[in-house]
Order: sequence, then structure tokens, then C-alpha cells
Amino acid sequence: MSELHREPETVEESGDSGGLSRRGMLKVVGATLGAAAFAKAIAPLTTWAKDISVDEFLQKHYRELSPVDMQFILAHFEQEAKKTYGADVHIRDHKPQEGVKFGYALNLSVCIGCRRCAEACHKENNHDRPSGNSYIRVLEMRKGSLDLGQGNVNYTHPVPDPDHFYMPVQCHQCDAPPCVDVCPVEATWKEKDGIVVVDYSWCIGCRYCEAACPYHARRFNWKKPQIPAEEINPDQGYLSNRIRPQGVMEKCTFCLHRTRDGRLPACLEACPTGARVFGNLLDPKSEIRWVLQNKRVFVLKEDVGTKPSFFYFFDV
Amino acid sequence: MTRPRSSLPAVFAVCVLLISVGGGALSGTTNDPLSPASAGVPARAPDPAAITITRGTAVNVPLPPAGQVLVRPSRTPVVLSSELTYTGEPVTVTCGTCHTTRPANLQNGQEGRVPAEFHQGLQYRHGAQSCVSCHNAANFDTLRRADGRAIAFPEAKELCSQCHGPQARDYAAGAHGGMQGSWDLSKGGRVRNTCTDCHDPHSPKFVQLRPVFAPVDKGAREQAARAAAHAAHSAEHGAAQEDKSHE
Repeated sequence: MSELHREPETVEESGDSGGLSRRGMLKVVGATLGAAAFAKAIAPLTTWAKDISVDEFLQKHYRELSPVDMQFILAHFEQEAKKTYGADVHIRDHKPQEGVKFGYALNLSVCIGCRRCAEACHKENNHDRPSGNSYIRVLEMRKGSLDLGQGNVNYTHPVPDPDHFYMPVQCHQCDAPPCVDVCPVEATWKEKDGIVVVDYSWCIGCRYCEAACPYHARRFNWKKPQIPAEEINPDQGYLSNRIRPQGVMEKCTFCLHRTRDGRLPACLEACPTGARVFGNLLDPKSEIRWVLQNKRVFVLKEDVGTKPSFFYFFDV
Repeated sequence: MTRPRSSLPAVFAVCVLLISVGGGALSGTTNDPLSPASAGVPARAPDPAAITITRGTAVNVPLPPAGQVLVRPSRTPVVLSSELTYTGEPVTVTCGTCHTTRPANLQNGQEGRVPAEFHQGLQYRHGAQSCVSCHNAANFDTLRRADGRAIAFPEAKELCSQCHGPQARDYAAGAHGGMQGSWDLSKGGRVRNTCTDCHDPHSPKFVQLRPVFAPVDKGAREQAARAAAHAAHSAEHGAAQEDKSHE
């Protein structure tokens, strides 16, 4: 077969003036250019592949992982943290508790805007240090208005200012979460205890969820997080504060690595005024239920129909 | 101690009153509100630009076992002398040391008057009370309920609750005052702040403080640049338009 094919070519080439034919020349040039273009095109892929192992590349979706898979993956991430950040961390896969749905309420009458909650979140959740990332934004709002567009997050003057009130905003763990609806790959979903979580290993970083959230609660890892080893919080959860890779979304999880163990969220413990109330919405005797039944409570942007599990209230 | 106790009044010339039940939330620099050794820091007048909260926030106190809620006891106040013991500890004495022999001036506390001696740093802004509305004139190491019965300093929350009913109600329901530990008491204990962890009983309203953790992202930089440009512009055009936007 091959000989049959080769023969006419030799005839053609020899027919011309001894060198390469025009067609042959074009073939060579075309092949060279094609190879160069292909190499160029896959260049980003080769650098990207350096940061991701085959195991990670082939990892299944969180909800398809067997317990054995999970143990293997957690051990792998712990080794990665040791290798990349030099930190000994302990990552667990925290599961929701039966009969628990988390709720959070914040007392606008006593919040003084000191931003200690945002700082505590920054440390607890292993946020990137240079960008000062946090899941909480504290809006300084003029009294008498709820126009979020007029809220200022960059105030530095002594607080509380008598003309303003302070409104910390974080993920509302909605019962009808638009961020979950828009995710094209189901990398984010709502758990049984009400927490909207992200599988950082499944997220493709399209940022649709960030655009869909009416509370501006989602954050994107533009860079690989930079954290000194001694500042890394070693108590980590797969779905919460393990150090995120570059290029994925992240969000407040009500500190599920703490709250699914029965502990209070870091932002609540840091609050110097006791403005924050956290608990189980399904327990009629919980503090959060008392607030909902006895205080003037509202939810932010009720009209968008997100059904938040985060409430604001006033002292009466 | 190098001197006999009988010379204490002279020793007190430079002593300060540690308002541990008073301005402790604002004057102390300690991280452990339960430690009596945290005394010795002179009380400061409120300075809005400098004050930071040092108590009631992220303090490491031992959590009680599961199922228990520990309310931090408020301390019995002591007065610091300038003397040190032979081991280097500051000499502290209780209020009763002086007040058993020296009657209190009941004019103090009215119209913001504070005692000139031994009570430095005390700012009084708490309604039209006199000292002995809350302090027990029969024993200054205790407090006094509205009905005249004595009450110990560690139970001061009960005293405050006599007037501040709504706050006491909210506190009892877990909706007032900070806490650390567990929301689920079947899995862990909880520590709760008491009134004086956050409020100075002589001046209970929160004072202004400098916020922490200012944003450093691009939006913050741009806003700071705009504010600077605006300030420069305002300076050029005199004080005609006063900037009230706090940007």
C-alpha cells in the first residue's frame, strides 16, 4: 500500500527541477505552523497542569465521593497544605446534623461598626492576607435610609458616628438561592442544615453566582491565597475554610467547620457588643427563635424572593 | 512591702482607682479579664481616636463543660498603691480600707462631680444617681439593691437589672451581650459576658472607637483617592461646602 502511494510523489518531485515541489513546500510550512500554533494553544494547559495533580483532575463531585475517596482526598489536601504553605492542618468533612437548620440574626440597634466580625472571619477562614478578604462587609448607612447603594464600606473615622448606623452583610444562606440556580456545573448547592456550600474542587470559576447574588456575598480567588504558615487556621473543613485554590468562588458558610460541631461562628464570638444571635431555627427554645418571635425583624431585599436565613432586628 | 500598713493613706498619694467594675472595659490593656494581676494600668480619659476594646472580645477563658453556661463574674474593685510587695506584685487594697474610717462625700456623683482623691479617671454619666444609689454605704466592698439589701460585686448584673428591664429580659433570652463557646449546649459549654464586660457602670454608653480591619481592596483605594481629591477641591474653594459625607 505505502509503496503505491509513495510512487506518484517521487515521480512528481523528480518531474520538477530537482528540489521540493510547491505543494510539498506548502505542506511542510503548514505542518510547522500548525505544530507551532498547537504548542502555543496548549501552553497555558501545561503550566496549569503543574498546579494540579492527576488525582485532583479526576476527582469526582463532592456528592459522588465515597467515604474512602473522601479520606484519600482529605489526606491529599493536608499534604498539599504542608508542601505549599508549610502548615500542619487538619481537614475534615463536616456533615449536617439532623433536626438543625441554622439561622442568624443581627441587632442593628447595637452594632457599632467596629468591623471585628470581618477581621475574625478573615483569620478564621484562611483568607488571602494581601487583599484583606473577608466574607463580611460592614456598610455604614445614613440613618433613616436602607439604600444599600449609599452604604460606605471604607470608613476609617471613629465609630459609631451619630448620623449613621452600621449594617454587616454576609451570605444570607437563602432558601431560594439564586447563586445555586445559575451555577452551570452544580458546584454550589444548599445543604440540609441550610448552608449554601461550594465544592472548590468542582468550581470552574465562571463567577455567575457572584453576579446572581443580590447581597454581594460571594468572593472570587483571583490569586492563590497568600497566608503565612503561622497564621493558617489548622482547623479546616472540606466545604468551608480549607485554603482555596486560585480561580474558584468562595463564600460564608456560617463557619460550618465550627457550627456543625456545635460551636458558635467566629464572627459572633468576636462581636464586642453582642449584636449577633445564632442558633437552630428548628428548636423552639433557641435564642434565634426568641429573637424572631419578640423583636422587630426584617430580611434584606425581601422583594427579590430569596428567603434568607439571615435576619436583622432592632431593640424595642 | 517595705512599710507598715498603718501608713497606707500616705502611700496612696499617687494611687489610682482601678475601675475594674468601672472603666475596666476601656482602661485595661489585659487580655484576661478574670486575672487580678491585670491591675496597675492607669485609667484613661476617653479618647475617641485611641480607644480600643480590650475586654469582652475574643478573650480566652476556659469554657465550662457541655451543658453549662458560665456568666463571667464582675470583679470586686480594688485600689492600687504605688508600692510593690517584696515579690514585685502591686499592693492593692479594697474600697473598705479607707471607707470604714472615712465617710463618703454624698455630694459626689451629682451633676457629674467625682471625688478628687483615689478615684482618678472616673467619669460619671449615668443618670441622676448618687454613689450610694448603687454602692453600699454600710460596706463599700459590696453594692446595694434599691431596697437597701447588700449585693456582692460578682452579682452586679442583678443590680443593673433592677432598672434595665428590657436589657435583662433580652440577656436572659440570649439576645443581649456577647458570648463564646457553643450554640449547642449538648456539645459544649458557653461563656457569657456580664454587664460590666462591655459597659462602664459609671458611664455605660459605648464610647466611640477606631474601627479595625479597614478594606484594602481596589474599591477602598479608589474611594480614598476620590476623598483626597475632594478634600483638595474643597480646600481650594474655601469652607463653603462642608463635607458631611464622611468619605
